[in-house]
Amino acid sequence: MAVVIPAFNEETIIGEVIRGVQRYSHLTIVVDDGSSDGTASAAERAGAVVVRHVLNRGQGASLLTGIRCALLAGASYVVTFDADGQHQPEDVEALLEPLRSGRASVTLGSRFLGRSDVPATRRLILRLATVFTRMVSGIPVTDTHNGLRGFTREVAARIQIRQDRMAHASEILDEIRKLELRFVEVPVSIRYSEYSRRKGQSSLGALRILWDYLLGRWNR
Amino acid sequence: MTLFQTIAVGAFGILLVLTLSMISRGRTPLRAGLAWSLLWIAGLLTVLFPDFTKTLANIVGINRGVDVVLYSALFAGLAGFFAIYLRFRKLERNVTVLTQELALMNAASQISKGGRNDQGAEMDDPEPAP
Repeated sequence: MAVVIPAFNEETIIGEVIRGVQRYSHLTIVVDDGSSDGTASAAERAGAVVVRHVLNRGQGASLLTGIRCALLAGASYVVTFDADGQHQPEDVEALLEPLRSGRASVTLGSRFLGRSDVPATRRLILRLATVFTRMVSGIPVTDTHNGLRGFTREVAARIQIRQDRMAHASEILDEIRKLELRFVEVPVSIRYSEYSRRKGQSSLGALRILWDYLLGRWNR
Repeated sequence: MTLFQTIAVGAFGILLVLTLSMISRGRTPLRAGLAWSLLWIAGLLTVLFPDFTKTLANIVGINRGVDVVLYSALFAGLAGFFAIYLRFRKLERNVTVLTQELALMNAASQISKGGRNDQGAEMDDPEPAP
């Protein structure tokens, strides 16, 4: 099993994230997305396999690189995990359980099913995104933009991610529908720290994500 | 012909000759070259026969011939800008693909070296080390 962590300028926290995840994974892959700080060396010191993008291409692009790397390494399952410390390492096990039991081939973390103290503005935007996703993708999820996901090896090899930046989250849901994959949502906890709020998407960024997603669908 | 007409015809003429030359030397795709050529010819004719724009304006219900030219130029400019934007996005996608391939080429040796925290364990999902 491999955990894939896309990271961009997360030098201060990536070591802590990796050490937390290593309790639950056989292989931790950090995709350094063209960071200008010491993210790559911090990740290497913490014991992760570091794959480097020479240019910053976005989280979607980094995820695909990491997933392909995990497949190259022979992983049976792939879990994606954010680098900013918002995700709880113990949720990796929760994502794996339905995959191992065969109940699903994709697991999607949902902060709204778990214990998360979501800021009001973020909650509103995510709720709107959920409504939009249900209309466009037809996928009945409660959390459309959660970086915690699990895939079996077979599904990881089939899923296409062409959206380089944050619209990849909606694209993955489109892929689930297109490929008719069995998925379950798993309650997870998101911890919003001062650091992660500073690094996270702005509310206006949601408009950019929507634009990228719609243009990507039209231009496919 | 007025001075403006002389200069404009000259400019459009040069652009037309340059475009046709680039088409003949294979320096521009045929479709794009022909589209540009048609644009230069339209510009030439508009300058040589300005009353035509007045006729066109009456047909489409716009007041003045010069407004037809302005609106057409605006629409063509915006359409051209959008086409360039789509082309730019495609180029960005190509840069991403190259970046990913380069990263994965370099990753192969990393994977064989390590990054595992349970030395020697199989990748096919036994329980992780406590």
